[in-house]
Amino acid sequence: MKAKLLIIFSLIIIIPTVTIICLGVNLTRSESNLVKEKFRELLTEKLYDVEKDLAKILEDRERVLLPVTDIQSVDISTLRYISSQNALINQIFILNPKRELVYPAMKTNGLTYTEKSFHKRTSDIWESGEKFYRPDEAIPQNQVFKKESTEKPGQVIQQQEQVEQQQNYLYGSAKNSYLTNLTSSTSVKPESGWYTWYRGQGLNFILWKRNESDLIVGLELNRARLISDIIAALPDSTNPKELIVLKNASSELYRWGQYSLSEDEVPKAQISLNVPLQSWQLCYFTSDAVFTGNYSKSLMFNYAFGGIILIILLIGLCVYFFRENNRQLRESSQRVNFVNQVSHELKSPLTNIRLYSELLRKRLDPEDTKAENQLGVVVSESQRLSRLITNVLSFAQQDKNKLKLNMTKIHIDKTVDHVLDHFKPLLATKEISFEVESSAPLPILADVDAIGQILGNLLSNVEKYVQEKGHVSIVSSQDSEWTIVLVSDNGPGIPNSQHKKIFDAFHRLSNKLSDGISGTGIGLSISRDLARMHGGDLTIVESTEGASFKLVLPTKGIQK
Amino acid sequence: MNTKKLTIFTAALFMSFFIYADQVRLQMVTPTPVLEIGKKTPIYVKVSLTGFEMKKTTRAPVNVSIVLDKSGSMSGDKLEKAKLAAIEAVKRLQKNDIISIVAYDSGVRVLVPATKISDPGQVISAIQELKASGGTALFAGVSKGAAEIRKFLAKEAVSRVILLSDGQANEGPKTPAELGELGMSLIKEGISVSTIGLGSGYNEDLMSRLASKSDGNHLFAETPEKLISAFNNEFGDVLSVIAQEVVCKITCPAGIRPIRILGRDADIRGQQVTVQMNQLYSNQEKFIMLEVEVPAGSSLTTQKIASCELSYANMETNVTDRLSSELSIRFSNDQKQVAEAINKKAMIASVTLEATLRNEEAMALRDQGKVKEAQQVLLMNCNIINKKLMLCPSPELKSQWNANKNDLDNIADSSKYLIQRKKMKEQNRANIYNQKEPQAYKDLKQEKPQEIQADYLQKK
Repeated sequence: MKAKLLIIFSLIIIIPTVTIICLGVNLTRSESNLVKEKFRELLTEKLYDVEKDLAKILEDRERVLLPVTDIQSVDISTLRYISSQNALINQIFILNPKRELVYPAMKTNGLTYTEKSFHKRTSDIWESGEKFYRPDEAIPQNQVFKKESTEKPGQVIQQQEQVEQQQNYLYGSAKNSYLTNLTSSTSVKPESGWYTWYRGQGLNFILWKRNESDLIVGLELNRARLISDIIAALPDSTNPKELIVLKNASSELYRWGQYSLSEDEVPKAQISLNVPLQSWQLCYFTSDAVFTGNYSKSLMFNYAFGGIILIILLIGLCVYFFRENNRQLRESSQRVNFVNQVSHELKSPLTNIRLYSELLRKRLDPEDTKAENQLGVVVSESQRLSRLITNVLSFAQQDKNKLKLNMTKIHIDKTVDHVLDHFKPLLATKEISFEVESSAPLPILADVDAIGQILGNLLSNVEKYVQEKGHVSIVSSQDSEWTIVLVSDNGPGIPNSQHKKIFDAFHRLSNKLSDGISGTGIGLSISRDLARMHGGDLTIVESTEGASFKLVLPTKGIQK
Repeated sequence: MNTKKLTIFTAALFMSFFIYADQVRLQMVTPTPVLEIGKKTPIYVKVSLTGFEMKKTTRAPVNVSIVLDKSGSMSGDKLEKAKLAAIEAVKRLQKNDIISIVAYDSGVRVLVPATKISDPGQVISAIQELKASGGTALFAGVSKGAAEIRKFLAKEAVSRVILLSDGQANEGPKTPAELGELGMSLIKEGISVSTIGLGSGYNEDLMSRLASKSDGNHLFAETPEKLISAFNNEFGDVLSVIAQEVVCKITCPAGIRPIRILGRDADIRGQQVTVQMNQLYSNQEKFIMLEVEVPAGSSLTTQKIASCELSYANMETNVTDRLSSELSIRFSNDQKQVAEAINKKAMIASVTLEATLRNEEAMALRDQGKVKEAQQVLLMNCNIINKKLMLCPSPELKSQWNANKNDLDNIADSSKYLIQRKKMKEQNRANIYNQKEPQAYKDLKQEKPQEIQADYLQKK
């Protein structure tokens, strides 16, 4: 009983808790994934903001430097002065309309050291025949090289690939000029753009401008200075929770933030920059805890908190029910004890009543029938009371598992006759006729009091429910195995639907018939239990009229 | 008699160039003012610029950014001494000076943004709070320092980044070429970067290149204790700048061919040589040693060798001064005359520079692993200096001989060379750029110079 309760209670606690935890974990997981995605988007946004700042620096540089390119003629001393004074550039250069370098001209004497080293730095560009066009610009056909027109298409493609391999990305690259098959030449219109090429430590930059007279004035930027200015414009390392790294293809340029990086850590967000910084990347690093931890942790905490509260509530509820149940059990057992004791107390005066009634009957004048009858009523009523008390005591004992049978050899027919003798006066008052068919001669092993109690209960029911001038038949039969007593009446009977329930304790048929008839509702229940203790059974059998009970007992007694 | 006249003439010519007080003294001399007739010879022209003495009341305001390495390797005594040195230096500044403090490790932090030094305590406490950790983002440190200076960039002020590092630049751009390129850009704005290398771990090529390209100083502090004197020297220079934007244009007449400038970067184009310096210091001489080829003289005439035009921004008057000078030599048949005419001071300068370049050569050989060849060059260098010492005795040459001898003794051992190379780099750079008080061989015990035998190393 207690184990059952324990299991039920634990189920009550465990099932909802586990469900809530599972749901919570799932929800947290999906929420945290969602948050992660959102966070990543946010970080990427942040990097794009940085990129905007970088683009602004380049725009500024363009704005500052483009006026420098407003040169209409090649005056070497002016050009040298520009190169030597402008801190943002290494060298200024000029290409004529034939796209030949006219300053600093190749293979001329009197070049300064810086001009010579400029040639060295930029030799790749002049060898590639760069013409400085923007990618969105149409290239006049007369600008296409003779060299290329003599080449077969396959070679051209090969050359393009080489260009790509060298990673010479640029605005208006020669690559584009190979691809576009232009038909008409356009008049020269001023245009400017960035050109980048790889040399030394990474990307190098040229800002070029084509003027009306089709001169290209180019400025080779001081790469270190550009990076330096970009670094200066980027924030200091103050935020301990993040780290943003700006890097080019081969190495890191700058990092800010104080989050310490573990080896091979994957950035939480990463973007590549736009031209002309195309090979540069921005990476955002931060700890996983910052990334999602706090949110999912708080969510987890919420669920755990809810779960704990729920468990406490459920345990409280279970404890309440358990105590309530215990209390009721205790109360009912107290009641049963009380009834039990009362019954015992009633039993001895009742025995005396019966004894002295019997003694009185013997001393009665046989002539005095009136007194005889009145004494009969006293006897039968005391017998009824005795049955009632026996039932109650049996029930109480059964409840405490104290019911014991005192097995002796009995003749069932004799027992039937004996019980019937007791009922005769009662049946006579209601003018109920009876017939007995005894065909169970063999003795059986049974408790005579218990059998008497069963039969008494059955006959008592007959006496109670069968209308006046009714009929009852008691038929016994026997074989080597079973001894059967069938008690049938022609009373109102019991509906089929109630057949199972009438054997339950305290169950009484609630209909017009039973109304007004007193009873404890334990008689049939006790009777069946006693029969079963014998190894037999008491059942109700279907009959055409009235009620018919069948008592089955093993002929050879209970087999142990 | 001719000689006497000429000497007087030349002297008068020199005299005419320092009439005005508080102007840089421009002097053109040659070690060999008299050449033997009939010989085509390369000669040196020493163009010497000497800063006038600064009046204390008129010191130009300075705009200094101290960029401190606080990488993990600086922890302990190094950083403590660096802080102390920086604090001592800051205390020397006055109200009109601008200071900024930048600290770098893997990242960079501007501890004190460029500000007029009204409250030195604030600056000092910012320095004191530094703790060492992380990598060495040297390039970024210089970048931020320069950016701070740029906030108040003015021609009237002396702009200087003072960079301290004890380690290899390992974050961000890290090659000498890149740092040199940055230096080239900064000097165009008048910002010099002085570099102080601490201990044996830093990259002396990178540090000296950055200093050279931006006309700053490069100092080697072998131990943390030497940081204070290094900072002191550096601030001494910064606080004594009397001229900036110094442009020296040397023009040779037709027939005289400029060959090279010893050491310094210069633009040589045809007959014209241009040398730029970012600043001149009070009472300090900077010189340019130009080698020219003089065609064989045919007669006993004087020959104009070069003329020089100097322009600079006078920090005392805030006016651009322009000076000019000329150098002539004469030819003689008399060997004795030729020998007597030798300008010993100029000779010493040229010998020092030549020996310095040979020392660099030895270093390059040693870097390639050619230890013996490097030792040969150093040995030869010692003996050349020794020979010149007989001709013109001087403490400068004597200590240079000792330095070279020290290099010779220490160049083979790899562990010693680590430090020795830094000493050589600092000393050579100081020789080339006429930097006052290099630290490297200061404490070296001076021996009496002597001829070193070819088997010296074997004996050892």
